[in-house]
Amino acid sequence: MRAGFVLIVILGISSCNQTPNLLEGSWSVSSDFYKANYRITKQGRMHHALILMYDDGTTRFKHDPLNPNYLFKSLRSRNDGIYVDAISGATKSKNTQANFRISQINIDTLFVDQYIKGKPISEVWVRMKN
Amino acid sequence: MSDLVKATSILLLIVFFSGCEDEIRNIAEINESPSPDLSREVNPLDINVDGFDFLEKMQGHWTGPLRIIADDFDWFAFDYRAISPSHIHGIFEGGSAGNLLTSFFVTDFKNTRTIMARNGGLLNGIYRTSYFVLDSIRYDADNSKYFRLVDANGGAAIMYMELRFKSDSLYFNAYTSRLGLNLMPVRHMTFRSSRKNPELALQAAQQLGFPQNNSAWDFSGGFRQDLLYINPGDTEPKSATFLAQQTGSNDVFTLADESRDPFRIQDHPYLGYLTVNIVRNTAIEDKGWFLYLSKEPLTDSNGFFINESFSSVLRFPEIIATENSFNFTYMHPGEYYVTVIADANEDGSISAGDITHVSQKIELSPEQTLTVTIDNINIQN
Repeated sequence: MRAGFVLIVILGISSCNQTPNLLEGSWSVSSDFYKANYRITKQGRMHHALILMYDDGTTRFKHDPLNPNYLFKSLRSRNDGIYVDAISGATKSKNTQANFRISQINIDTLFVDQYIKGKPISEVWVRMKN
Repeated sequence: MSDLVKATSILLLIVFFSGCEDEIRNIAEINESPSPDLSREVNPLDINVDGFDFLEKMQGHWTGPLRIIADDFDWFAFDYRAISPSHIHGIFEGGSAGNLLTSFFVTDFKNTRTIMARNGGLLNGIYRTSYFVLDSIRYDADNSKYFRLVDANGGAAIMYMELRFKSDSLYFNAYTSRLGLNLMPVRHMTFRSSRKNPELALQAAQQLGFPQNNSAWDFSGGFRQDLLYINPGDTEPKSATFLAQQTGSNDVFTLADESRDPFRIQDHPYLGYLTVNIVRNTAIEDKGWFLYLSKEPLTDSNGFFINESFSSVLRFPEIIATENSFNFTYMHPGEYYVTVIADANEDGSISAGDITHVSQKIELSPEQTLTVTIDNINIQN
């Protein structure tokens, strides 16, 4: 009986880990409009993206440990390998659009959609080598 | 096995599986970013102390990629030239959809000699003019200089624009809150550009004695609050904005009056008007067209499009198929090449199959109204 429950728990865990968590680490993005470096960490079930550096031409800063800034703090894995952030919390809201949608191209590359008014801005993030 | 173990196992299962749901509902919606000072206070910067050099830095034919909200354009241009000794002007002429301008000028506001911006235009049937005031400057370590202009009534809490100049590069970001309808401003436009064809602005500056620290328009009395636009449901204006809705055939002059904009198109010195008419033939009878004003001809002597000259384009409206004429407003005087490209294959861009003509040279004098007609659009590329 006990072994059965342990097995069920293990199955539960394994079913949640179909997609390896490859998001953690430091990432760089460079587009026509800005450059930034982010560090993704996992805090519980959420992924946080700490902004290490950001430069859009007028807003320019580097990470200050005393005043950290985050791109997102609530990125979560779906069961299809996609990570999404900040689905509208108001359960009765019509807005169920994610702010971010991240998929892994490979271990060193992410495909990131950031939604502005429901329209995606697509970016490729490249893992930074330490 | 105890009930405690059983209950714990079930609880763990629920927790694990709930982490795999397709439809995640998350009330956090945290999207923190560096927080600039978004005060409602408006504190003009005294350009007698610093900041007057903004006018000189702003001169140029600025070209580069532009992002509006989530729409990206690989190439965009604003042609900034002096229109008086203390006023510089640039406009995007979109064509059938409308236009968007931002000019910068010396004025007195809140007992301070400063620089203000006039931003707006006639876009999608809405005439809007908003006024901004220079409120801060920053020097960066890479020898660049940053300027911020905020809404002259509601401050950065309503909307603001940031410009940073580094050598011949301009980084221009604008943030809006839909005239205060939204809680705080968000990014609206990003324009990263480099200066081209500096001789165009230099020529205007020499003719006008630009730049001078003289008031181009008097705002020392501020804005009459009863004339500013008030959002529906509000009792007082949030923004230094004048607004009017196009309801029929009312043109930009009528709309300016209706909006009660204090600084109207006809108050701008030195600028002219250009109307371009086209004569259609059967090949382009029902086609939209691109209209270009450029420093260099966009076609060769046979009328074939020259891609290498595109970087000299100064204005680039797109005209819908049902229109045969376009009126350029706020025109810098000078020489231009006029080129019409009929979108024969209707792919929304210049491409093989489109129909052109030999670029036509024109010269516009200060405050002149000029009309040209292009009647030979018959060269298929």
